[in-house]
Amino acid sequence: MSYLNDRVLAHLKSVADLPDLTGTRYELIREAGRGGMGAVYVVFDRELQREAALKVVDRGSGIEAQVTASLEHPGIVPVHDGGILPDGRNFYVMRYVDGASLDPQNTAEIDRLRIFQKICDTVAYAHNQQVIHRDLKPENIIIGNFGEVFIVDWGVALSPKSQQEPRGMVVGTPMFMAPEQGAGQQATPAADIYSLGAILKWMFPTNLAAPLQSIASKAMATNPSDRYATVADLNRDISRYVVREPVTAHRETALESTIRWAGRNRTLLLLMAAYLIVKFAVYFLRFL
Amino acid sequence: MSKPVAGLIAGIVLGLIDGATAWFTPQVRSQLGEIMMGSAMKGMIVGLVAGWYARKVQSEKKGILLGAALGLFLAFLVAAMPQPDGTHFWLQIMLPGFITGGIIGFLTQRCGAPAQGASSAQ
Repeated sequence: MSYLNDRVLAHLKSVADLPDLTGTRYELIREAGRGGMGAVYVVFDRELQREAALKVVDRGSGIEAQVTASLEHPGIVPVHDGGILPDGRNFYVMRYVDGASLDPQNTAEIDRLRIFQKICDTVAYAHNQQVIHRDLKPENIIIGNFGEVFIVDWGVALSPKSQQEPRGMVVGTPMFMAPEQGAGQQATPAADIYSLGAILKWMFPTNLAAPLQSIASKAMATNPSDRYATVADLNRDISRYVVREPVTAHRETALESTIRWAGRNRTLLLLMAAYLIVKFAVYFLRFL
Repeated sequence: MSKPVAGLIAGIVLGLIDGATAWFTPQVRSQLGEIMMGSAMKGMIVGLVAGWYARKVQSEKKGILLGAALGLFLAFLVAAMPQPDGTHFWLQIMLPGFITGGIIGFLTQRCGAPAQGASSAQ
C-alpha cells in the first residue's frame, strides 16, 4: 500500500476547491486570489463573451453578494450575477478588473494622494450606506488600467444586512486594524478611519510630510473618539494639504506656515520680485 | 466678494503703490498726486477687466497674461504722453505697469468668488 505525499494531497485539495461551474454560463480560466472569506476566479462568460471575476464564498449565505451589489459607486466593482453553485457554495460574479495593486514606490506623491482621496470617497459612500468595510488594506485596493481606484473584498463588511459574528471574534488584518477591532469589539466607522490612516502611512514609507504625518496620527488615534469624526473630514484635511492650506490635524510653526504660504503663492512672490528688480533697475539706470 | 470687486480693490491699491514709487524720480516728484491718481485709475481698469475675465475663466496663467497685456497697453498710453521737456519715460512706466498688471491678473484669479459654471483652464 502506498501513501500520497504532501504535494499530491495539496494538489487534490486545490482541485477539490475549484468551483463546479456545470450548468452555469461561466468557464473557469484561473484562480485570481484567495481571501479569508473565499476565493476569486477569473472566468469566461459564454453569454456575454467576456471575462468576469467569480467569487466563491466559503462561509455565509448570499449576503456578501447583496451587500456588495447594494454599493453602487465608481470605486466598488459592480456585481452582475450571483447564486448557488452545483456544489452548494454561494457565488457571485463581478466585473473583471485587469488592474494592479497599489505600488507607492513607483507613484508620485500627488498621484498617491489622489488615489488615497478616491479610497476615502468610496469608504465615505459605504459609510453613508451604513456599511463598514473592516478590512481596508493595500491588498484590497486595485488600480484599474484607466486610473480607476477600486476597493475590493467586502466579504467581512458589516452592514445592517450582515449577520453578527459571535462577540470577541476578530476580523481584519493586524497591521491595518483598529485596536478596538483587534480587541473583538463591534466595529464602527472609526475602525475604517483607523485603517485609512494606516494605509496613508503605508503609502508614504519615507519622508512623510509633517501635516500628512499628523493626519495619519489623528486617523490612527488609539481612542476612536480622538479620530476624525467622518471619512469626509479626513478627506477634507487631505484636500487642504494638497492645496497648501493649513490642515486641522497639524498645528504648524511660524516657519512652516511661512514656507507653506510661500509655496502656495510662488507665482505672486516671483511677480513681486520681478517688480522690485525692474524698479531698482529703472532707478539706477538714470545714473548711467 | 465678486472677482471684479476684488480686482477693483487690488487695482486701486497696487496702482497707488506703483504711482507712489514715482517719488524716487525727482523730475516728477512734484506731480506725485496726479501720478498716483492716474496709476490708481489704470489699476482700476485692469482690475475690473481681469476680474470680469476671472469670473469666466479660472486660469492663473491666462489671468496673469491678460492683466500684464492690459497693464502694458495702458502704461504705453501713459508713457506716450511727453514730459514738459519732451522726453518720455517709456521703460520707467511700461515695465512696472506690465508687471503690476500681471499681479492684478493673478490676484483676481485667487481672490473673490468665481461665477457659477466658470471654466477651469489650468
